[in-house]
Amino acid sequence: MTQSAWDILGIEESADSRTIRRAYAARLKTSRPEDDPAAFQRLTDAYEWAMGDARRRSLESPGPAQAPSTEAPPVPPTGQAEATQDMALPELGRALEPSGPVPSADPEPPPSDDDGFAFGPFFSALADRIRERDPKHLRRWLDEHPDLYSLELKWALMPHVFDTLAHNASMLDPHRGHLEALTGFFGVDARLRRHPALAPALDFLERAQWRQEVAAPSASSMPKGWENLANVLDDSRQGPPRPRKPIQTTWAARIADYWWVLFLILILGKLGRFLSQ
Amino acid sequence: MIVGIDLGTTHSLVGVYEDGAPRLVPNALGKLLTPSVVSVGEDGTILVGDAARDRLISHPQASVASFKRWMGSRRETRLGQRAYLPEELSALVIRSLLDDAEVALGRRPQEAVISVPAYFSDAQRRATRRAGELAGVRVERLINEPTAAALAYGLAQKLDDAHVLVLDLGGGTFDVSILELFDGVVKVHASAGDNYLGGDDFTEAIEKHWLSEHKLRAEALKPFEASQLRQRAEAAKRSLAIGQTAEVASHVGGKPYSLTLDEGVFEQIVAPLVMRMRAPIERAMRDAGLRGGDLAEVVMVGGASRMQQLSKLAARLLGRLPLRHVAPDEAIAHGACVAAGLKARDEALEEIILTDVCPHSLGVAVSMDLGQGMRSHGHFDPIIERNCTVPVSRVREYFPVHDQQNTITLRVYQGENPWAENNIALGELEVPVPPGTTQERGVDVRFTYDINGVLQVEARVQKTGIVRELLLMQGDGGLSEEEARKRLAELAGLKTHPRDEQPNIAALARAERLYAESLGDERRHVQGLIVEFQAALATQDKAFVARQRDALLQALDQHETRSPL
Repeated sequence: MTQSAWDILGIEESADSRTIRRAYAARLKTSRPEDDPAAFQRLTDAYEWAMGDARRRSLESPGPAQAPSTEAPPVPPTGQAEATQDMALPELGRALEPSGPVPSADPEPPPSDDDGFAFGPFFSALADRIRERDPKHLRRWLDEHPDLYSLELKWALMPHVFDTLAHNASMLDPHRGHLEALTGFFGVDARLRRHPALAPALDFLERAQWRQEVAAPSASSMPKGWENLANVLDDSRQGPPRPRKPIQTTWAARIADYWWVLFLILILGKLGRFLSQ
Repeated sequence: MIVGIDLGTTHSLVGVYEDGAPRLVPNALGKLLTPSVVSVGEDGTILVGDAARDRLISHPQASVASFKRWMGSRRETRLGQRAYLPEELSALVIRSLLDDAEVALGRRPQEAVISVPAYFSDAQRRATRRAGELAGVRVERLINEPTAAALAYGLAQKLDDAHVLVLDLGGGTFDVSILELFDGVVKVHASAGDNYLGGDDFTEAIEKHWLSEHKLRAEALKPFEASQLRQRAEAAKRSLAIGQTAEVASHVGGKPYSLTLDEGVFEQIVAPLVMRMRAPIERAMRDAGLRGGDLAEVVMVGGASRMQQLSKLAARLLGRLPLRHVAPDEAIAHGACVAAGLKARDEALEEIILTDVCPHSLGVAVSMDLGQGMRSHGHFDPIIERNCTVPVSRVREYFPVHDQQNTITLRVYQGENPWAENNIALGELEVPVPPGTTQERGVDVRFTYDINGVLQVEARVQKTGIVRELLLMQGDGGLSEEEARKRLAELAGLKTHPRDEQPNIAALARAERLYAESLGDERRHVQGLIVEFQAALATQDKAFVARQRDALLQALDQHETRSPL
């Protein structure tokens, strides 16, 4: 009953991406989406799976021109990227251990540079901003950083930034706003959040903050209806997204929390003036 | 004969494929670009194009623009006696384009290829097909705008096994698409964009800067002054776009104000807009799993892509310079004509199968175990991830949180935010779960998204086999056959002005707009011109009317370029 992707495409298991594309193109002409949606999906799934497989194979045995390390010189770290089947991400730096969210005492050596961009100085500049400036400034600094316009560098950098941040979390104590500025700049959405190269570091960075939030009395009123649905405890899946709740930390909100102090000062002032009369 | 039509948000164009090349056809005013604006006159006649655009200002209640954004919905616009659906308004634009084609080509086209944005849902595509049919033309095929761009550049024939990035910056929208070309197949690999970002925003940024430099407020401007400033800013944008210095001189309250802008200042002013263009490009590249070096070409289309800022941004992000079309606002129409030509000869394009992607992630809200007996609620868990080729069907497994729980509520959301509440809620489904421990009570949740944009949610309780279903329709704007026939008959009955009168109508509409924008003596002057021209029209002497029209247009030109008072 189950046909392999190779059967559906009618090609050899060892076919390269070019052959897979040709086979897909040829078969598309007989299963058009509007005529036979089911056949079309089977074919497209088979095609996408086969392309992913071909990509994995070319990563495992670095061919003459296919290996990512030779393809993109400006990428600072070049280990083997973990190619995930359902996520067509460009190689994110280097894969982290998917099951090791707890950072060890000594951080991994930061990736070195060959082509003009140095991770070390970049990260220390970033750390300075996390320590000293507000999230808004951090975001602007990232947006305007001339080197980070390059998509290749930006994506190569992303896992290292979060990883190194997780290693140095106790020292830097990043504010939740800072984390949000970073995830916003790197475009970490629900889908990317699951990526094995990002999930452990982000889990570690964010989980502590959610715990505080959940434990805090103000957060105990959970949104209606959300309590009755749990995510799977199935470890075949990559780590589930664990984002954090945006919390208001504006001055207005802080003032709102301490309105009674202002009120008291006002009353005391009036009282003082009244008594002195 | 098949024509190619670019049915744009701000402008529409029509053309044919002739003698091995696309040829665009001018409208009654001699222009290739017809504004996608519809207006209804006092006597119930329909106006399309420049005249209608002028009437947006003089008769805002009877005119409408940007209706492409509503395609696929049942939003009605009341103009005069009748309410119009978006596809009917589009049909009126298509009908006017067909009139132009008929004059230029000698016979009325029976078939058309129409371009649509890559992200258009099936409902929006059906509405576009219907618009063609309501205009009296058979829609042979809809072509994705990025594909049309690739055809205009001749890439579909030139490249094989290649990825192409198409950046389309129009008047009000920014679309980014990645195409995969191989073996005569064009596959839309990923698309992203900003529906409210376009060239008009750049003009507005110049206006705002000009006002703030002179410490003026936009609200303090009279309609005439605002309109003059808009024109000057628009002209300045064109110079600045190609790296020249520009002066914006305009009058406010009778006083002249002037400001010189150079490239550096312009770059600062539009930096926030350029920053907004960055995200869709990054997203499309990431979704396609590509790096700058993987792209065979980067092409730019759309009138606003003349701006250097876009090509500079593309070069910085992707490390390569984009190709630019000689006439970027005509490129999509050229591509539609090429597609029409291929279609007519039953060649090549027949092999190009356009496959669609689901533009948003679809999933449910879940609760997460944080350990130490704590949970965090309201997380978004995607089941179908965005940019999956449709139709698609995916399943995931969920469990109740508590052992004593007897129902699971599936809340279905669409969006990309990790927090469910920040995404769009589509609906919910209650599923009864049998007693037992959490682990033995799994529910398989299957999402099926078809080419019609219908999402089917099916939950199957593993232990009992109970199945619960939910059908969610997106953008359901379908018409019944009977209703479609009725509307077709009604539309056919709507009158338009004879073609040779259209330049007169357009000149009069422009005069009326200027009347609406000006005050005092200016206004009386324009009124005099209108009365004079109406008297000329009454003579029905064509040669005399044409002379008077030229004189009127000259007077209006002077009026528009002269400072008030």
